[in-house]
Amino acid sequence: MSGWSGRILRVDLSAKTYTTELTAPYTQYIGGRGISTKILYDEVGPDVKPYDPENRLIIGPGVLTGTPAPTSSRTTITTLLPNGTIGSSGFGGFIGAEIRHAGYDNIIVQEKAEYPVYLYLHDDTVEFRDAAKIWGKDTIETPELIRKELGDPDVQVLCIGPAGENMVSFACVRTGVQAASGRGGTGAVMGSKNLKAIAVRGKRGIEISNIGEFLKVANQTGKMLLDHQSLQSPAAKMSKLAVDLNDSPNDRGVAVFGNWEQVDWEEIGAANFARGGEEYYDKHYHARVGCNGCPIFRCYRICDDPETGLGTAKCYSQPMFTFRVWNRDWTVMEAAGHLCNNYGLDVLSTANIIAFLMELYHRGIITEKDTDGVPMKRGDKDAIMSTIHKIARQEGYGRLFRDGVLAGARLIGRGSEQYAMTVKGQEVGLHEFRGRKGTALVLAAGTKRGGGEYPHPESIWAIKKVNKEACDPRTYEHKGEVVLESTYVYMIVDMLGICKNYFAWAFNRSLEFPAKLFSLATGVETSVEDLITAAKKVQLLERAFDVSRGIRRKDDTLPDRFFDTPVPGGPLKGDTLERDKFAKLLSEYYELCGWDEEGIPKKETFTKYGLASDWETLAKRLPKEGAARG
Amino acid sequence: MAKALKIDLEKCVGCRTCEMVCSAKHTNTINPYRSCIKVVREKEWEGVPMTCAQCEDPQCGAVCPVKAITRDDKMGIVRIDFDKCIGCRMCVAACPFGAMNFDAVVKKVSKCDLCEGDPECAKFCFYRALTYVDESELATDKRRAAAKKLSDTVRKPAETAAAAK
Repeated sequence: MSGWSGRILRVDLSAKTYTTELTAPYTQYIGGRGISTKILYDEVGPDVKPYDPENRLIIGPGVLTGTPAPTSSRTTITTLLPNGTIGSSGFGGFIGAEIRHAGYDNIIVQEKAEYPVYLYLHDDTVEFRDAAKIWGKDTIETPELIRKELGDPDVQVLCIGPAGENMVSFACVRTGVQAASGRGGTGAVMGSKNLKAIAVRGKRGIEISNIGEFLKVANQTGKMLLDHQSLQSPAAKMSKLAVDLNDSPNDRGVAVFGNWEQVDWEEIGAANFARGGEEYYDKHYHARVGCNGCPIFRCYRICDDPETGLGTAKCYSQPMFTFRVWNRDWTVMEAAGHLCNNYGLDVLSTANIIAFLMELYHRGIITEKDTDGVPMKRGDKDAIMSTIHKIARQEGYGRLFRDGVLAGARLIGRGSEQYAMTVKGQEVGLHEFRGRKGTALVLAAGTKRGGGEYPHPESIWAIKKVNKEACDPRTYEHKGEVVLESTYVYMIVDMLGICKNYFAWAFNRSLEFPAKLFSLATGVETSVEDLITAAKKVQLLERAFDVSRGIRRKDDTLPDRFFDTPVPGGPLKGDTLERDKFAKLLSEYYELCGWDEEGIPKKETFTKYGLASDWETLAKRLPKEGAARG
Repeated sequence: MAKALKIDLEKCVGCRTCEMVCSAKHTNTINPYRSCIKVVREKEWEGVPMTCAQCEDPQCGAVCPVKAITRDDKMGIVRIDFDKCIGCRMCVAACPFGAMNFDAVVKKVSKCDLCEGDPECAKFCFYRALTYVDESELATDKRRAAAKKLSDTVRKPAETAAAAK
């Protein structure tokens, strides 16, 4: 096969065996997230619980991952998440390319190892190696120890930290100093399988159907990217300049203070909340690091933090560990970001819990007695750091939150559930959803968990200037169409393994070049429409998976606070979500997706895409309900 | 005049694009393992691209028992004649930079041939760590940077002093 490696690796941790299967039957789902979704849908029924050995952890680099197609480094991990829904969490780095170079399209990990192991994939073999020596190590040490043990510095490593080992429901899987499969809790599933890491060394390579033309188009695409105006300034390319939080998210009304709390923006000095980045970087900046084959500037800034050493606090750490936890000190932000990464904790969920505790403390619902003597004062460094340590290590009050903020709120009681900001049992990240109806819809009903994944669906039309009303994030008009279009585009990006930034900056989210590169790589002439059809199939299967586990209309909603209290300040001041209008929007979205009023995909939607057998699978699974958490 | 591949270490970020395109050009597959240029990375963010220096007096050629390795001075390329090569790998042992590889797939030694005057790696190095320049220009950028530094140290304080008067 060209383009595809042609093989899917299946690893059974319990039997310590591995087999390879053909990719050919799955190519209608393109690759990466698409193929992973189909496999998970087929193999994980509604009776399987997230931490059961029968759950699958499916690693899916895209079809273009590991090729010179610009920005093609992306990989997804697809699994039944700890919250009981399907999730595909993406990341960059170098491991995806290495997996493709090793000759695999997807890797399915199933069952549970008897004792902690790590896998070593090389020369068409899989070694099951004892992980006793690295169990308990953080995500920076682990790859180094593995490389040393294997005696090969070129091995790429995907691993979990102590948080994943302890099965904290929002633990992430990490690779390199920079990248993380952050949202959803893929690390907890990996931990539940006693799988510490996957080390890969690829020597097989990828066949490309029309290599000459492929290189030509890839080169042209790379040049287009670099010529794009957003990358023109030398600062954008290699500098250590900080993103000025106050100039971007705050002005656009994305900033969320605390736990979406009612605060006076003037009083807290919102316009000048979190400065100090440049001073920090002057002192501690070390280098920039990026991903495999990426011509865009290196996205991650490595700092040598006095407290936590070398690490990166990537984009989401910045708003999460400043605005969200009332912290104005850049040093604390960096240290907290590094710490989460080292432990293998999702930054967004962790900050959500800290914000939640700070709100409870502020309201007098809890005192320092509830949190091992550490007062959860807004913005307090000890409160932030000790919560991260305790959650990751599962000590003291950290144990309350092993299954997330809602589970923690239920253990605390005292009416604190209403302050746990979750959707389908998963912590809401950031963004001011009340003023952004499209973003709110994605979070409520989208199939990719997190809400941080495609936060501005309107921008897809804003560029094309299709419809003024639709482009205004504050209106409900056309939001169903806008959200769907952006959902498909981002899904295709995950299936091909290219980076979302590629679209945001260079191609105005046009899929023409990716489609061309895909066609040249595989030799299968594929249009943009063909890719969108594939994305529709994958979305259908993702929804069918969730529906088979009891997800219905009632679950496609947001925390009450977003409906009941308006935005307290900033450009979106006064905005709120209206229940009736949101319900109407949800119906409109279901209709466009081909789902019924309850959010169950209709039989004719399946048959329209030639997926009748998948409908039969769903029909068999349907009577069993209530498996989802939350 | 012959051209040469110029490597600017400070600009290399270790993205490995050169390895992918080099293997694509030479082996028709994307496989960094078989690439002629290798990015040695001590840290993920620090790359050192290592490839054939196309030596004026190549050690690989000197040890070759069948004289299969010769240098084309006009193009500045050290080439292997595979009609003569017996696969003894003496050249791999002799190269002081580890730039002579052994391709385990085709069972032949392999090295950079500058894509016969159109190196793919330089075309794809968007960070400009690899450039294909005239031999006499290899040191130009470095000289200019040093000159600027020198000028800044010598002239700037004098100008400041002059302005103060």
